[in-house]
Amino acid sequence: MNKHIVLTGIWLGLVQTGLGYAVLVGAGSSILLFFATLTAWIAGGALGATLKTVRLRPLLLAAGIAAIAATANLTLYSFNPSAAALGLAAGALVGVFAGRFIAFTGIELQDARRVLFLENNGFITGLTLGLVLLFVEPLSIAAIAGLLWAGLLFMD
Amino acid sequence: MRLDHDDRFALAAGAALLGGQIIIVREIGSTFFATEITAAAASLATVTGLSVGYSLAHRIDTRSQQLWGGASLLFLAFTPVSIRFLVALMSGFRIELAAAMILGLGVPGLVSGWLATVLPRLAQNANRLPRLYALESLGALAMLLVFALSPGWRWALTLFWALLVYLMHRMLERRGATITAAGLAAILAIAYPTLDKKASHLFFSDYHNLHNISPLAAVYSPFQRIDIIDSEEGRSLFLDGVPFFRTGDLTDFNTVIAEVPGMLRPKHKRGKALVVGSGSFSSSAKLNRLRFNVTVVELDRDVARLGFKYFQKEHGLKPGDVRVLYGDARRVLRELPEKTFDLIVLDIPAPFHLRTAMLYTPDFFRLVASRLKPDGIASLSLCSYRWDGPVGGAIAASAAEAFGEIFVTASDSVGLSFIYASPQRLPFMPDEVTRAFASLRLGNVEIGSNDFVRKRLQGKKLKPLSNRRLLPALILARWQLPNL
Repeated sequence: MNKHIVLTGIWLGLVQTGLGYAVLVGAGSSILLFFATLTAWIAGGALGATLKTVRLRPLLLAAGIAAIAATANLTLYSFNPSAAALGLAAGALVGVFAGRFIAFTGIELQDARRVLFLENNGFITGLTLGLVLLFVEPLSIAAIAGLLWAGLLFMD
Repeated sequence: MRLDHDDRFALAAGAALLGGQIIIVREIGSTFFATEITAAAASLATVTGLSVGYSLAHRIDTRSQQLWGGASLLFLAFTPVSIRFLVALMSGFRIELAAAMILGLGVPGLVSGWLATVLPRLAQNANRLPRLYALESLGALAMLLVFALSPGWRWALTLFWALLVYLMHRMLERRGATITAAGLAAILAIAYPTLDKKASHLFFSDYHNLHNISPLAAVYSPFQRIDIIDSEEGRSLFLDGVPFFRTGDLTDFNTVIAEVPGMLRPKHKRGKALVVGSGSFSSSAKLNRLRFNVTVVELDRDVARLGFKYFQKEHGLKPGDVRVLYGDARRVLRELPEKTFDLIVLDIPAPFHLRTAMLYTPDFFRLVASRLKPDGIASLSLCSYRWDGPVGGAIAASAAEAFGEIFVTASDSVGLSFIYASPQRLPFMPDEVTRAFASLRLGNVEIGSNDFVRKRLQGKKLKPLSNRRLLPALILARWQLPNL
């Protein structure tokens, strides 16, 4: 279980870096857009934590598909009005998954501190890896996040 | 929904965490190291602090948590003014980087670390985690909205200080401590303009070596901090602590980037000009005087407003003399018709940010070329005197890829190189550029012709900037370029 929590944190860190960069490059330096993206992610997290019956795997599937679609759209069709909207929707969905994951796993293990600690360590790793990959090849973030996402979908 | 004591504590902790992060990123960025890399490093420090807090949450007793909390709240309370003081004071001893290290350790060690102890301690019964986590997120969201929607930076800060008082009250539940915190917050809120002015004064005199300073304006726009400073050295415009324009020594910059190519355009072909980046409006004013119909594209409304107001003597424009369009240049240019402009001047800051680095890529230069008439002129700075160096060469390579003909002009008086480019052919020869420099008393200039520049770029295997290698460019720009 510990491994699962850390890997999920890594995936979230990678998605946040990759999606943030894709929005900046593909939708422009608008402060409104920056605040909107952050708002979507945090609001998604708050909503996800309160969802009681939604299962994690379908949520992860939806969040991953949304992140891939948004990154592809922002990269291929920069400044298309749909690109920013899809980026926001993806941010919100990934946030919903993150909130639901922490709430669900915390109750499952009956240990909030452990879940928060492990998930955050994974998140730090994902964020650091994402930043390093931005120097090498930004698209590789999407590739690694995609592989990790597929692995998490099939993990018990 | 009724909120109990723990709910409110979680809500306030979430708000303080995000508010603190916004203030710290902004203050560090607007003082001495303004790049997205700074923001990323501060975010990384914040989340690292969370792990420190989660790790220690159950290992420390209540007394230690309270002491830690008190120190964190004090650190947060002074952050809006202390960073500039710290950098200015330490620059006197040439150890301003130590200020960065203090902040780098202070943020994770104190602030986010302590705030991260709140949630696990409140959620000892793990069944309460979903509700508390949601409330912590909602607190962060509320603080985000406060900063996004408040009418000014000072208003947002005042609310933030009030939040810190509430946290102190919740944490200690001692009337004396709450009253002391409230008094301190009130003093900070009232004295903020004075303290900020003093901090700026010290920062610009000690860190930037300006003399007899008189700060005229300091504004936090949604994008950056803007300072207008009068000093013995002239009136200056600083964006995020970096000098962008100064009367006198930086005036030649606008002459080379705007007036020279404008003069070289035959009089009967001086139709429409586009200036990307308003700054002090000096470039647009020079083109306006040459009878161009000038449109300016500016990302930041506050830069345009303050630049127009405080550099009136420099530009001499009246409202309505130039048209100003607001937004990201990449978006605005896309919305303008093709083959419209006779001259496009890219008067933009060096690639210190991703948002400006993207304006030096072949993609953007191709967009510029498409908005020029076939014999139109694009003018841009290479941000460095060495046009075949790592940064100047990368920008020149970007231009070479997008334009049909390019000349490089290395100006001694400005200490920078520039490119004049055209989608097809430039409507002047290199010796005409030399004559224009002489007529404007701009000192020595070396001109690199199209073939010469392209051969040199190929010989040195200089690659253009691209959206896939912007971050290395930021690092290079930060370390290799003068503060322009």
